[in-house]
Amino acid sequence: MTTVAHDASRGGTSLRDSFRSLGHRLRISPAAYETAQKPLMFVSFAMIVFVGLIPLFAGPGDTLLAQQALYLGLLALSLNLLVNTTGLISFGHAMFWALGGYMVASSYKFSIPIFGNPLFALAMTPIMGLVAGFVIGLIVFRGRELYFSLLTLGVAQLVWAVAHGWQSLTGGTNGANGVFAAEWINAFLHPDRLYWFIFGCVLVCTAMLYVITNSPFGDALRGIRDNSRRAEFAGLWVKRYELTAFMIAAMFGAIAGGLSVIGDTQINSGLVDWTLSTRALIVVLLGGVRFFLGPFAGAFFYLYVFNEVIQRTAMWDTVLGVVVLVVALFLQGGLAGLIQWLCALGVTIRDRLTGRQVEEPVAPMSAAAGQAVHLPDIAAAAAGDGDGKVQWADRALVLDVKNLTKSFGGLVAVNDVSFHVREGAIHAIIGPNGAGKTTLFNLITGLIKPDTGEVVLEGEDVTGAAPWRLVKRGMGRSFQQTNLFWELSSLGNVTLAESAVKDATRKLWGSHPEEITNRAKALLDRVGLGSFRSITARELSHGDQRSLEMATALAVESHFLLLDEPTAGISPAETRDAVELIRKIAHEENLTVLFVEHDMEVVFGIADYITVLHYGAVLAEGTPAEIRANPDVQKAYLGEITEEEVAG
Amino acid sequence: MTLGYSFSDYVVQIIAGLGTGSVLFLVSAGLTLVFGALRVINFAHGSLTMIGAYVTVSLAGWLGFGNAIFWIVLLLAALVVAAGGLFMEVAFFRPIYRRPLLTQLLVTFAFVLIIAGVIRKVYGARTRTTDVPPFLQGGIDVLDGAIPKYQFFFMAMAVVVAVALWAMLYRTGLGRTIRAAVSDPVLLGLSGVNVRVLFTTVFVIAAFFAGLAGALTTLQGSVGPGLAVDTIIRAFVVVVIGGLGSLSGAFIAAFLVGIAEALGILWVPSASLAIVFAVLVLVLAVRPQGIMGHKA
Amino acid sequence: MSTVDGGQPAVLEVQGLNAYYGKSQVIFGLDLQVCSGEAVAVLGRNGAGKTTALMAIAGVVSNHSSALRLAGEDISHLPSFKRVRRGLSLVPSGSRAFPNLSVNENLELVRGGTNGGAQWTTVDAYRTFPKLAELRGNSAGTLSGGERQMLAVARAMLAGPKLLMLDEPSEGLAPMVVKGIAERLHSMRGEGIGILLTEQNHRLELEVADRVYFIEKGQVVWQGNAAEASDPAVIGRYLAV
Repeated sequence: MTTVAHDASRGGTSLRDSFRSLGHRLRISPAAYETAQKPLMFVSFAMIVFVGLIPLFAGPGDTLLAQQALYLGLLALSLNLLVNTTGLISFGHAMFWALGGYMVASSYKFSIPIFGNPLFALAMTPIMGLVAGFVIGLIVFRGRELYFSLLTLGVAQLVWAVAHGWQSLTGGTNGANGVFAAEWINAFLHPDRLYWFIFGCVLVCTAMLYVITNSPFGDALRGIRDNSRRAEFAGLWVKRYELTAFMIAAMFGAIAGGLSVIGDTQINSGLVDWTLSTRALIVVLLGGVRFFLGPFAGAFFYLYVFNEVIQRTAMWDTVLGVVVLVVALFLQGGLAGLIQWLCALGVTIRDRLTGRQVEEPVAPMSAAAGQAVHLPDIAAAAAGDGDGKVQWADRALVLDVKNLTKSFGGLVAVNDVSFHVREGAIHAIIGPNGAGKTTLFNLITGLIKPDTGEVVLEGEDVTGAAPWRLVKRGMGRSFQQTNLFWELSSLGNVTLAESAVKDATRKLWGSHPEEITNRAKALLDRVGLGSFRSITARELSHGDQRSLEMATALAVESHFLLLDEPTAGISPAETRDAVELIRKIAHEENLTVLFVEHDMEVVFGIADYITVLHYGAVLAEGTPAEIRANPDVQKAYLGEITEEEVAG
Repeated sequence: MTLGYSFSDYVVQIIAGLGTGSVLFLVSAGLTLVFGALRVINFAHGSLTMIGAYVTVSLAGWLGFGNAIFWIVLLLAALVVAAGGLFMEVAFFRPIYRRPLLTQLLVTFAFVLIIAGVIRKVYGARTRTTDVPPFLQGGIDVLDGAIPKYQFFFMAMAVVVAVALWAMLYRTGLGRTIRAAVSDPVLLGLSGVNVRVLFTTVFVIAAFFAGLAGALTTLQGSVGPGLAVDTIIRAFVVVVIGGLGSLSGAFIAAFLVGIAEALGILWVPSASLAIVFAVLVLVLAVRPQGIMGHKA
Repeated sequence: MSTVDGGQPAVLEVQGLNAYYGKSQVIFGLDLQVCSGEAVAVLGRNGAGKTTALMAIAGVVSNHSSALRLAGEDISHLPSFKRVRRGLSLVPSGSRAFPNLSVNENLELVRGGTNGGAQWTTVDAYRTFPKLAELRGNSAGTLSGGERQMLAVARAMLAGPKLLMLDEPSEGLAPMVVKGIAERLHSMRGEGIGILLTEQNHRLELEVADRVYFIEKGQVVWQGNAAEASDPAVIGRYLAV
């Protein structure tokens, strides 16, 4: 309000000034979006009811359009499970619609009792969808990202080409038309009942998809979308989850196709080609990718508006193209986003009118911010050097690395490295740049396979095992660059990690078990993020993000933590706290920690044992005191030692 | 499968396949170049071809299609499409280079729609034809059959364009920068090269050849509004089989696909399309980088 | 143009640089200067932010600063290729080249500017690095690390720089090769080119540099001349374990 008063006092009379002050007045805060959730839900329910009642007040033409919007919307909704929830862009989703549709259509061709009944065929479409999703999934998941999308397009075209060419089975471009009407008008005497039958089916499917999307399984998919590497390290077998999502999307796509045949009484190859796949993507975009009911909003908008547009101009596809262009470039929220904005606007206006103060969410301040920057003192670190009284030889072996070697092309990155890590130790790996530390880490954690050598984890040979298996065996890893589920809240990140490793993410409904959520909350408290539970990971300060990573590593119940440069990129002030956190938690939980670091203050501050790598081979090993006294290590860091000297 | 064909029938059909493959190469060359340097799959590339075809139809209508005029018409059509490509890239594609795949797909697809509508408005929905210039009329006898002269013309054009593009890439400064962009665009910027302008140049070149290909398509018969989608799907198959970003791959794959289609029509007419897509799926599943592509 | 003590004009002035690598802030308010004809080394352990600092000055990673001037001209809003044409050359770490181009093509590719910096041609490059002349037709992907680094330095010189930045130029190279590079850098200084290089160890730096900055966690923690920097106490504090 003060800004407006300021403007007014300057006596600005130009139009631009008035707009600007209006814009200020109506500026919508993030808090308004939060409060707008309730009205948004109300609007959504109202719209569902409205759609259900359409036949009562609309003419047959409009009712038919609404009906078509229902199954197109269901197709787009199933596609959105892939696009939005899992982050997989399928260019060929129409193929499942085609399979479901032809299944129902064929029931007429073969007029066998029961099997000839279109309702029975419709009931079979989900099974057809699941099976097709599985088979096709095995093919398309051979590719990642762009190649996955191209494969979906290729397979969809293949399906279309078969539909197009195999006249005897599918009727090709003529397809099967109008044969249906006579057979079963007895079941649906009035066209309107057909609408409600379809509405009912779509409503049930939508409800099922809603439950699945909001289940622990859905959380796992979102984690995979945000950061599939982190998901892998939370114990999720990513390929299996993606395939399952693909199968579910296929199932509902097939149902949509079957419904379309029942509703439109026709199918032919021209209706199920590439343009249908792209139409589904456009509908998802128009409605708003990030909103659950967005696809339906998009479908209704698409069919109604372009029905009007087609009647008025021959250039209807240009109009559609321009709309798509504008929405893709500027209005990423789509229609649903627009409605949400309107709700938030309404909330803001209401608050301004009633004078209610809206609470802004406080930008999270890092716990360390505001402290004077000081440089840690080596002398102090040296004083805290290992007490040497611990008999490490008595402790059990957690990790035993034997003769690990890995070359890339002509370059030997890791050269016959052997070392072991004892239970409860905080073990550091150091070495000058290019020494092979990260490659070594990747070999141990299953991201790459060694050429020779073994990795033995608690007595079990895990050489080359996939990361998620290692996580299930109790190994957790953090990364050099912060690796979180960016769109999830802090609590969401930790909960997902815990849930994944306990296989609680296999549940397709409901929410995470309470004990998991409670433990997640406790973990957040321990790392000092208790008051930042609902803040999205992306919005945290960098140091807090590192703490969150620590919490997720703990959540997977690792008793063996691998930390890759845990203090990289953190300001000096926050480094001290990060170090304290590692030390505190490691001792409290009796964790074994293996970490790579460049910051010598950190290393000498907390390591019990140090392995020095140089040119991919082990140069020296020992307690911090031994390493500091080792002349070879000094030389390596100061650049006076060569590759031959190390290997020799 | 009907196998009652003679050797002559096969030869004629394969040569026809080479002809189709030639046009396919002309379309795909630009598409693969754009992907290699700009890392964008331009779904509107087929629409650019279609513009070239329709512009040729108009120009041939106004100027005739005599022997000399023919070349002028070809050049003009290609230039018109190149100009259109310039506008498209500068205005709409530049912002999307760093955007996610879905946005790129939808923006390029939006242009497919926009162009389709404009073409339909200007030219109507019926198919259009042009005459064939005198020097290309008639056929050449091969064994027991005859092959239209324009098929050989296509093959000649494909070879000429392939050589020209190869020369551009490997013998000119521009080609050098394009090849550098394919491997390391950041290092290219650090070498003092204006990478944005380079991207535009590549796009315009690709559009030019798309337009040229479209102009040549008019010789094959009728031109209809379905040309854009038809073209882009087949070009996409060629580019992926050949290896995204590889010109030589596109060359090989284009003729492979052309011959496969031609033989498919002979053997199992209704499955000829399916065969092509089956090959595509097989290649992607087994060797995703294509015949000549590099592993990502 | 501003000057430093010694009266030489400053070819590079950086004040209050903050730079980011992805989401992390890596540089926290960095200040440094290089004068023409001067060689300045930035030393620090890995992770200290040396590469990010150079990439930020070259305009490759996102950053903002209160001042960023090349020979007195504000370059903070220019894209990286324009900075190159104004006389700022960066040899990135890792001996990067275009592996699918021949050595000669790698050299011919460079578009420098006519900005008063030293004007080099490919003939000069081959004269200075005869080994490259032998390999001119070979594809750069087949070169050894040392040869690629020579190529990278030659490319940077072809841009006619006023300021040459090198990121860990001696990494992975044999001592003889490093010596060769040091000699080249010596003669460039003589030609009035400013040199800014980063290193993890002090092999190259002490032979070439006039002044040294030590950086730790994205900030300058010590600066002085090369003689002072050779003091084992200083080296031990900031570089060793």
